Amino acid sequence: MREHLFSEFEEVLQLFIIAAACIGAVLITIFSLTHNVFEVFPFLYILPIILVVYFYPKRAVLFLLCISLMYISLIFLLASGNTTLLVIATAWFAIFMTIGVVASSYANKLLDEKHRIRYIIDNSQDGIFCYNPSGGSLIEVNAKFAKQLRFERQELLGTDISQIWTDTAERQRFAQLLRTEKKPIETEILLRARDGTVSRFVISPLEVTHDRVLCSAVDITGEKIVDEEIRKTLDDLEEQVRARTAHLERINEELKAEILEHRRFESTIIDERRTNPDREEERR
Amino acid sequence: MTVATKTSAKHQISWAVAILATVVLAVYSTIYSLTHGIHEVFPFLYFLPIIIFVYQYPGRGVLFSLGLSTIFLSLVYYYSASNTTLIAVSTAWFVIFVTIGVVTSSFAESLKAEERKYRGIFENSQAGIFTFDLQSQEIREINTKFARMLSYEREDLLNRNLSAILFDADGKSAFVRTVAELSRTGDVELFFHTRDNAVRQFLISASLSQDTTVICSAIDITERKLPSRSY
Repeated sequence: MREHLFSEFEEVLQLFIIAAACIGAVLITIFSLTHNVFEVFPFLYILPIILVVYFYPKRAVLFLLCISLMYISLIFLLASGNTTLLVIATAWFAIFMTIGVVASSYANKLLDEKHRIRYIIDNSQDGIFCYNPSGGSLIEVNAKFAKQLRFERQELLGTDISQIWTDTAERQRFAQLLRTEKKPIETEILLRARDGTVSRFVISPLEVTHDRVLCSAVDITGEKIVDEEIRKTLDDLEEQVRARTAHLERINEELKAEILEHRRFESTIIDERRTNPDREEERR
Repeated sequence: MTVATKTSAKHQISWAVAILATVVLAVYSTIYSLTHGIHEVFPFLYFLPIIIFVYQYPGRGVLFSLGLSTIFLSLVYYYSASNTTLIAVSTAWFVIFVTIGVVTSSFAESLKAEERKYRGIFENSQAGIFTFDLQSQEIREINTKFARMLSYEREDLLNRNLSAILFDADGKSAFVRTVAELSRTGDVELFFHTRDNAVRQFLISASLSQDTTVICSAIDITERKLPSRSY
């Protein structure tokens, strides 16, 4: 509510400044033309043009066309006999239009670019956060990142990054890496969520300015758990195979021993028959 | 020297020549006008080199406009020191030139910085990002991450139709229709072809920018989906 009121007040103030600059330029033009002071008044039109380009770039071209027409109309109306002034006024008209079109085209492109960045940050499937590496405060956080850590976006804005990135040594290592590494960096870090659970993220930083680092982050805890589960399953399977193999080998050994025993027994009987045929007879 | 470097060098030289020519023209006209008592029009000629210079070298625009304005004022002082009205008007012109230089170069610098930021976010993202034209459905930009997720090179996918990578035609139509109607989508699951004809599942969110470009962000959820399917 307070923010809304402030922005409304700001807009009214902007409109007031532009209106004052326009009225000032027009009144001074009328005064100058009626008092034969021709040198300075056209300069006064630069101010409202720049103000409109800055505050309302989308409507700047239309506005500057209107104000330039107003300027040239006043000259034609109040000094139509002065041909030199008419020529100069036409040149000024062209200059106003050129300045306005050039500046507003830059301003519009700038606005579009800001929107494009906003679209990416707001709709990205990765978490995005921007922080000040020297001060440590979180400057920008997208909804995805806040959600991944179970925070509201507003709760994280302005807070110290140590609240979520608790490992100081890891942070310092990361800052060092940022300073020294020239190639794109991709590293794993641990972040603490609102409920105290720790998640593993892979982040890639981008140094936007010397006091702003923009990071793209993806929660890989789930992937790590899946990887861990797969690894465990594979280990279990390997263990089972090993146990089964050992069991089979043991059975194999036992069978071999049994066969050997049988053979030994057979050979004992055969030998006995050969050496003592009388005893065999007796037995029969 | 590569063809691109040669073209860029030629381009730079053409701009430098254009700037130099407009500066020489402005200075020559100033001297001529001041020595012939024509005081009205010559200052207008200084706008051209300032605007061209700022367009080409925004980082040095302020210095250039300050330098050129100083030359202008010096010439007026040198040739018409006795004409106080002309000196007063020229001082106003000096302020205007510097203001125009500062304003336009600050816009141009900010624009370059934003473009760098956009490019940085685009290339640095852990998610795949691509943009396509809503009408033609042709891919306009794609980051290396997303191209790699689909086993392609970035250049292979630029200007290709979405159908080249989107597996499910019905899913694609529904997705494009949602973007057109609502200007954005929530999280949508879509299947994509990779270069080696494997099918992978992605979570996509898209939003329509101010022109007809749709900006999409994507993450591969195939592995995430596998355990839940197997249970």
